[in-house]
Amino acid sequence: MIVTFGALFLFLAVVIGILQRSFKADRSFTDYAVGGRSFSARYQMMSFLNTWYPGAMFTAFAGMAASAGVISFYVLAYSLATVVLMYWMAKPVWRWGQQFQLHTQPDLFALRYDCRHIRSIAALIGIVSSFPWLVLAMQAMGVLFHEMSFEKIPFSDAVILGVVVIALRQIWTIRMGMRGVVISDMFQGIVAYLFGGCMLLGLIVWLVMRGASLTSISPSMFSLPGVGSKEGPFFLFSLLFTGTIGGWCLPFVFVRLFTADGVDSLKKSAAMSMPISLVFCTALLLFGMLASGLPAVAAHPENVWFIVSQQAGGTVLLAAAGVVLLAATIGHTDGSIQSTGAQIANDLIGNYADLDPKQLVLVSKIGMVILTLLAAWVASMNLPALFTLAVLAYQGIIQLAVPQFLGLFWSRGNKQGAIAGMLVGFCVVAALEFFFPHQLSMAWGLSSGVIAMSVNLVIYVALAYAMPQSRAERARVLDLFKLANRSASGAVAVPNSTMADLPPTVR
Amino acid sequence: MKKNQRIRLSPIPTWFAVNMIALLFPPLHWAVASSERSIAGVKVSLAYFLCLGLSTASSVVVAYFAELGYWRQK
Repeated sequence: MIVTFGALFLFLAVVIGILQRSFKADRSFTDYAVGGRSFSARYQMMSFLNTWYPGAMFTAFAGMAASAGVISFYVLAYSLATVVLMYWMAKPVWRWGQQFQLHTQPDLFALRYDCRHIRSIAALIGIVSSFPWLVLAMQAMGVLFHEMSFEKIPFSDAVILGVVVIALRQIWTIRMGMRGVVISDMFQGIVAYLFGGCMLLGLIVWLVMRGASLTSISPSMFSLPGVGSKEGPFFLFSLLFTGTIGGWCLPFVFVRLFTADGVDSLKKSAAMSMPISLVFCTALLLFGMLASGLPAVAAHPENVWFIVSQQAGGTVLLAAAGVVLLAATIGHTDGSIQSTGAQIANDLIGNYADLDPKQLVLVSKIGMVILTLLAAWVASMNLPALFTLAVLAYQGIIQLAVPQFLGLFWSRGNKQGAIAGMLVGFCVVAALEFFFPHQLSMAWGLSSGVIAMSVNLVIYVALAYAMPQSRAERARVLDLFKLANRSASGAVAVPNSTMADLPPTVR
Repeated sequence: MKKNQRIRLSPIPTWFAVNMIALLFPPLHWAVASSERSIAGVKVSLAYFLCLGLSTASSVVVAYFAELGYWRQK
């Protein structure tokens, strides 16, 4: 236990040391919420990866690869497709963000639809839907400490210990805001995905040397749900579709688009993250599949990362495995807490109260403290329905996708369609999950989120045509699109008169 | 000049679109769903994900270099 816990303590000490050394007082809310839009492609890349791939990759997804096989590769496919979307929307999102001082995802909604209330609606959907995942991340820390103690610390005590560690780490997130998150993401990302990736490759070699191979894996591990399967013919489509578009609906992922120092940095970070993502994720899933033949893994597939590390390298490698998982978990949790705090200040309270930048930072910090304590309290309780709630929440949050993506690339959409579509979509998800839980086969494998999103889309498009924009609103939106599409040298000028009118109800 | 630039850049959006179709086209999922068939010793379902992943990752890397001006006609 000294070795395993010592390694975790040492890692945390280095993270805190880095944060202390890089501490810089924030001068504005832009500094606090989006790190002053100052980060280069390298920081952007690692920050994205550290937020995107949580510690659950090493437990839930590696476990899925070990127990269910090739279906787990959907996470690779949608993770890479998400980066394509990042590349695609980098220009409009960053330019609007920089020009109009946007700090959060709901800020972008408010700007695009020129509506103050949509900011709070989008923020509420985002915060409520992200909360169960934050609690699950804290509980995952319990698994980590349980394993690091060689199962000597009971699981319930390990969860409390994990929650305490995560909560203590948030002191620096709250003090330093986004700057602290991004800077620590660099170190955490190197440990989790570069060092962790090397560990995975080493463990794959170890497994192959012990006789594991793709041909030795049961053929059933290579089948996917198709026509006639119990999950339904559209099950895989549902997984891939919701995963791909859902990523950018998560507020803590979306805010990464505002922290870069330019469109080029965002695009460069997308290009840099692709090879790392491809190698890391492929190695992780192949590792899980190859390890499926080990009896201990077959009994507890979710612990495959710890089991194989310990069998291959004893206590030292188990400690390294723990550090890797901690690095991935902390990066994800910090990002979530920071972005939620910014949303509470900017999109909920600040949307209706007139707060100066210092007050915004203060409210944001108070919000983060409350959120951390609330999540820690819920995590320490034994709530059996939490995972179900988290899955339901994901189906809910993807309802933001329609006004978000269409709002970026289709000028006709209006606030009535955006608000009505999101709210109806969210209600349809809740109704489907309440009245028809776990009945995917009835809808040929389509998830409640996909069904609700089609309703959401019909409402958005129908209202765009039924309630056309006023001439002034049309001109305002077209000017926004011109701003997004102008060349780097600013070849297309945006009329000042219209720009001055841009945020009348927005701010 | 503008017209020429557009012609040069068009393969990248097409590549993005092909990847997205390959990702989200259910008949393709059904075609690779079987665990029986293999390509060069690799089961088709695994080969589907690996090829799709490689193509998606490459498309963004190539797109970035294309925007930087690599492969542009002198």
